[in-house]
Amino acid sequence: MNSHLFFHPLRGIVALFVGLALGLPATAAPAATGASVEQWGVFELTLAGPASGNPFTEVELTARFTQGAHTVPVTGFYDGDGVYKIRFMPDATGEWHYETASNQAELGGKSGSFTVTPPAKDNHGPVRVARTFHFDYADGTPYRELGTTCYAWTQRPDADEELTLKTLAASPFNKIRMCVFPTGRGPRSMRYPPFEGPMPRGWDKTRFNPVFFRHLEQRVGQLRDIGVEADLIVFHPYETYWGFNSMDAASDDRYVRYLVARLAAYRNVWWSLSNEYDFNRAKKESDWDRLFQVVQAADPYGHLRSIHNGTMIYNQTHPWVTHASIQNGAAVLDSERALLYRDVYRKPIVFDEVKYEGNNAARWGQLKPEELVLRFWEGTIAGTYVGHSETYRGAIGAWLSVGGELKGESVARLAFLKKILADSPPEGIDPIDKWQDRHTGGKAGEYYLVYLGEQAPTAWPFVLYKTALADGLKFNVDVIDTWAMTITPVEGPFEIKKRDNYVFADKDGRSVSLPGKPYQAIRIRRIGPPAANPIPETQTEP
Amino acid sequence: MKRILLAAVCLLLATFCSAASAPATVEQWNVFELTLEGPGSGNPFVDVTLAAKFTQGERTVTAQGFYDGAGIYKIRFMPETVGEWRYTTASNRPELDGKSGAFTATAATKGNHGPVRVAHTFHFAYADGTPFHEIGTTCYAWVHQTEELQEQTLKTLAAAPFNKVRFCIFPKYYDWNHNDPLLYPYEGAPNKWDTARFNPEFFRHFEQRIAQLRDLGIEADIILFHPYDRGHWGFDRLDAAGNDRYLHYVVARFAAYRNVWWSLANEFDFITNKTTADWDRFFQIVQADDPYGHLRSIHNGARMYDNNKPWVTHASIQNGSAVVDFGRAEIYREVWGKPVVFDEVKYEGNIPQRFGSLSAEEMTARFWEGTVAGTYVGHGETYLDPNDVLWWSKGGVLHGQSPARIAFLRKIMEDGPPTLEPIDKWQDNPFAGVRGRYYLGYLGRQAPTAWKFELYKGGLTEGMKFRVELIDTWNMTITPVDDVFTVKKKAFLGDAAANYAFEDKDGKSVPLPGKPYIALRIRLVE
Repeated sequence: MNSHLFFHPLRGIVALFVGLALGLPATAAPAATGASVEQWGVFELTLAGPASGNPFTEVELTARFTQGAHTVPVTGFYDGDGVYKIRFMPDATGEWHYETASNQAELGGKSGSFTVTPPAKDNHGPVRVARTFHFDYADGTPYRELGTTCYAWTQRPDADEELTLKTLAASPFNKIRMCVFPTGRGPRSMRYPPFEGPMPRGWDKTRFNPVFFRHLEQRVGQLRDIGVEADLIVFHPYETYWGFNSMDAASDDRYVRYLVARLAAYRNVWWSLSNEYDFNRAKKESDWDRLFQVVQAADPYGHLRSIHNGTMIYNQTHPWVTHASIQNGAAVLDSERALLYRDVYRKPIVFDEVKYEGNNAARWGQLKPEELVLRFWEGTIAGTYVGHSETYRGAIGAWLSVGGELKGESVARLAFLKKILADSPPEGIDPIDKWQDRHTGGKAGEYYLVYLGEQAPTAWPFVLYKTALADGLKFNVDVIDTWAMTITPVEGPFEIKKRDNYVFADKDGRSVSLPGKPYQAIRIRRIGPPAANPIPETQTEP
Repeated sequence: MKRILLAAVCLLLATFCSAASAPATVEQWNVFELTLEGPGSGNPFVDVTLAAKFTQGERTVTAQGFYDGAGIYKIRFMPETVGEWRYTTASNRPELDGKSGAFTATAATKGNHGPVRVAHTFHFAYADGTPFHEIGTTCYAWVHQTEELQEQTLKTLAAAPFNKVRFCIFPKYYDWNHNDPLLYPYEGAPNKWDTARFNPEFFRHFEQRIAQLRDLGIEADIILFHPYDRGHWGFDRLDAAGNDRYLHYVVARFAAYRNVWWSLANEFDFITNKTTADWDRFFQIVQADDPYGHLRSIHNGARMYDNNKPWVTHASIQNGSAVVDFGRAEIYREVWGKPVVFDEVKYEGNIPQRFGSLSAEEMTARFWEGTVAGTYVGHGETYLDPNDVLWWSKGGVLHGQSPARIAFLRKIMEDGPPTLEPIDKWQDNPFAGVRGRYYLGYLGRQAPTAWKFELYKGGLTEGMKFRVELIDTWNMTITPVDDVFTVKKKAFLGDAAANYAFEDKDGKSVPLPGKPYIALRIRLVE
């Protein structure tokens, strides 16, 4: 049998096996007429080729995928046992053609075509930067980033990994940060080695272990199927036992290219070049610049790229950084701190590490759930995104390290926040009147979220910054208890009148009554159409 | 024999330099000025090129010359090292070309520490190594007021704590400041300037003020462009050639003054007719023309310039709330890895605009918050005045109560280590200083009655002893605490392995007066 089509509908992968029989003439590769894959799914072409020598370094394999004038060059990879694969994520529906090229006669010149069908429900494509500070899926659906971290969840026995997936499926999180390489020492810290060679450091870095990568891909595919983006941490500084994070530059580049060739066709992949990049003493700033560019050049789809800091921040203004991935333990204690990063970088700001909920002895892992929820709200009204994790020890260890089950009390409040945001303007939340201690985010003239944090006032004077406002506009108000997870509408609309050169206030001077408890937010939504002649967004003053 | 030869060379040089005049000696980091006579016809501003190479041993510095009107050309040079310097001019005019000579740079005298440079990543020092604790103020258009008012401003500055003043080259047209300047920088008339013909008198006057500031020990942070014209005179909308020519001329004239800083713009993003590419080019013109690498920055309105760019030496920030809280202010340090100067944090005053209605207490608190963040804060004052003389715009006299407190802070900074670094950044720890030796902490608007003695572990070992002083930043008092604090490790959550802080071995606290605006100074007992 010269050609097979294998459908894996659950994973959205079409595997196309071409010419597995050895000795098949190159020209005999049949066109896979009738094959189909959904838009942003994975089209996989499988080819048989040489198994001798070192196929990882000696065999070059690429394919050009073409639709009309649109051509996407894609790099293939060796998957062991004489099997080569090329994966492709089509970004448009309709008929696509491909043709391979290789330095091996039996792999080059294979061509065929297939049909890309519309995406299934819940497939919105990869996540992109949108409106400078935010994210959308490729189909335009807003993506409101709400991430968590389980560094080494893919280094566990199947039962543990399945448990993590189950927990995630029931959680509010739509992104998980996870390391490719193991983070611990000793044989129990690693499920499969990524390279061939004797343990623990005798790796042949020119020979990858396909089993390691197939396992990673399986998990990434499962995350995709539950709507979770996989923020893959390519390097990290947490072990010197295996030596994966202190390889020479050629090995780093080869590893990165192999990883990208295998995983870029998964629409939910993000590239996090490193966790706490500055704690990796084996690499210089220029190495990170180069590695970013290797990823950027190898990835045909431009998946999101970031790098996470320890105490030094990478220069996020570099063009190859799509968004800032920030660790800062205090920035999201205060929206006016968090929003400072926006103006500096003019990219989405994701506070991937703000300390964790838990009871760890380390100060980065002992937040009370109230403190973590507060950080999410402060970050949200600052027009930034905040990340979660937990250090409580469950049956298999801490969520932060190994996944498993969530034990914390913040998760339910984050689900509540997510629900509120799902009902907010699709453009995203931006700070209202930044640098003025207004602690308000939203969309001027239409939607406002005020967050009062640990203050516990009994009233909030109804005052809004002038942009997009006009006399006579009316607003509905809800008081949100972000901890108790209640939304209480305030009776009667508030009608505004210009008060001074900066603000509008309720025309009768009304305030919003509050319960005198901490962690309250106020949601203000315009009733009816926008103002005919609103005050435009203006420059401030000298 | 050698001496005779030298004398002969000098004689020869003197013959060649007949049309040139220059002093025989100049103090290090002062202005050496070579005056030449040349053509006064045509347009010397654009027709004549003039530069000189100044050499000392292997070192050569190229300084651009400029036309000063009435057939007079000048080349200014700031020698950065003592000893003999030689020069030779180059020009497209024979009468200005090939003039050479020599002079001696003598040691700097008291009060002359050279230009200010970036030091230790986040700070500044004079060229002679003396720390420069930046404390600036702003008088945008003081040089465009009456001579009498300008003299008054200088007198006020001489008695004030400020060691930097920000001011504009071009006149300012804005609230409380709609008067025309005494002089214009060009020939022509408003919105009809001949931007190829400068008015040397305008620049000579400006230089006089730079030199007077220098002599008071004050850095001149010169604002090259600003948006407060809006077409009234049209200096905010010169064409690209006009902008570039202006920059070349300004740098040629001013760069030899050691106290010059270049502020490319105030609220650059409010100047809507210039693009980021324009600002990049302006920076590069200034950088290329200035032989001494004076400090370069650009001040923002609502948008930030990318201060990561290599030609930016330090961040000049406007932000009305960042120094309300040291935890905000310190964020800007790491994003650029450069000194952060909050040149505009709102002003002490009573105008209706929210940018100019801070209380003196609030202004003083902002200085302290910025200081313990390892950053620098700028002052400005906007008290209404029957004659519309607001310090922030026109200079004059200071009415506010913050300058005395700022002077008090400056004294504390000068008595402390050369630089203050956040002791434990991103952790809401209000101390800056030098780990293990010196801690300056600010408690701001809180009014606690005690402070538990606890310091971040960095630089500490058990048994170290410290003395504490209470600083009332508003009443300007320093009160020593009559006790010695000996530190030991503190365990976190009872876990001895998790150690972030040291506390007093007997768990002592420092009693506090229960008032706001209190700072703590903690110093190692040697």
